[in-house]
Amino acid sequence: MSEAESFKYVGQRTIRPDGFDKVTGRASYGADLALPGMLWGKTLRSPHAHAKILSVDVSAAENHSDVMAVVTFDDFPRLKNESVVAGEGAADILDLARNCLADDKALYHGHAIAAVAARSEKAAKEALSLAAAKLPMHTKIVKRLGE
Amino acid sequence: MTKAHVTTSVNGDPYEFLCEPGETLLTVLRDDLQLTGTKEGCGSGDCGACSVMLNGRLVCSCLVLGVEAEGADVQTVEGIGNNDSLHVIQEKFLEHAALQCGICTPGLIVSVKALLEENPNPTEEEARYYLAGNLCRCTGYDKIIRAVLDAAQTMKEESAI
Repeated sequence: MSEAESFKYVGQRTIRPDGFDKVTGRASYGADLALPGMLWGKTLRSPHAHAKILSVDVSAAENHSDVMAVVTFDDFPRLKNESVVAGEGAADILDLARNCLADDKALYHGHAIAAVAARSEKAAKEALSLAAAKLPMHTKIVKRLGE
Repeated sequence: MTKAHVTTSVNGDPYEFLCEPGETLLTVLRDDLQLTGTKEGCGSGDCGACSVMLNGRLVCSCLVLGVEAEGADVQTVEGIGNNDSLHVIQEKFLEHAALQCGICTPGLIVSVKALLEENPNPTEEEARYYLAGNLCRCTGYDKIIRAVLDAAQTMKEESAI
């Protein structure tokens, strides 16, 4: 018998400890949990890659009976351009905040503009369709290139 | 909106539930019946994570309405194997390490069972083609295919005895 064959685990085919739960569908993932009073979150995202946000009207979404909270960039404190230590290097805290939730401009397709928390997923989806954001696509660069 | 009253059978057990007309079978199974073994991947029929059998037909439960389950026979991953013993397919998935994160696994187990019921002796190509609707981002499919072919072989030997 070689040395490797004498090990209990090294060089052996082992069965995953979480395998049984996963092949039977019993494994509990985050999305499988349902707790009393749980709220569902949904995010309104920019349909454009680069757009100026003229207005965000969330009043209709806030009035929905099952909506508990709606947030936009205006709900957060105004940060200053300030360098902070973040992970592997320094980052600008205002840039980080703008990356989480768009301020006056959507910087990429899918950039978060507003977020809602509601009593059900359905209510959260309805609230998103009620929240109106005006954001014309920013075409300045495209036009310049075409000139 | 008025909710629809649906009487159905899931894994052989009778169930009754109320659902919105627009609610999918997937949300009914997961949220109303608490059968969370069936996973939601894409919600648009691309990934196969929500695969279930509806009247013997393999379907994406995210593309089926809850009301369509009226009078139907639904089979989910919870109905495969039991407390004492796993189904051969499940055993082979473990043996060949055909899973990692496990989100695609319940859908795949249901699909593989459907494949082997239709074609108990698939070639590698047939197995790959049949399971093309089940996406897995962890394994690279090779281990899954090895598990499927081994399961087919084992089931054939078992039925021969």
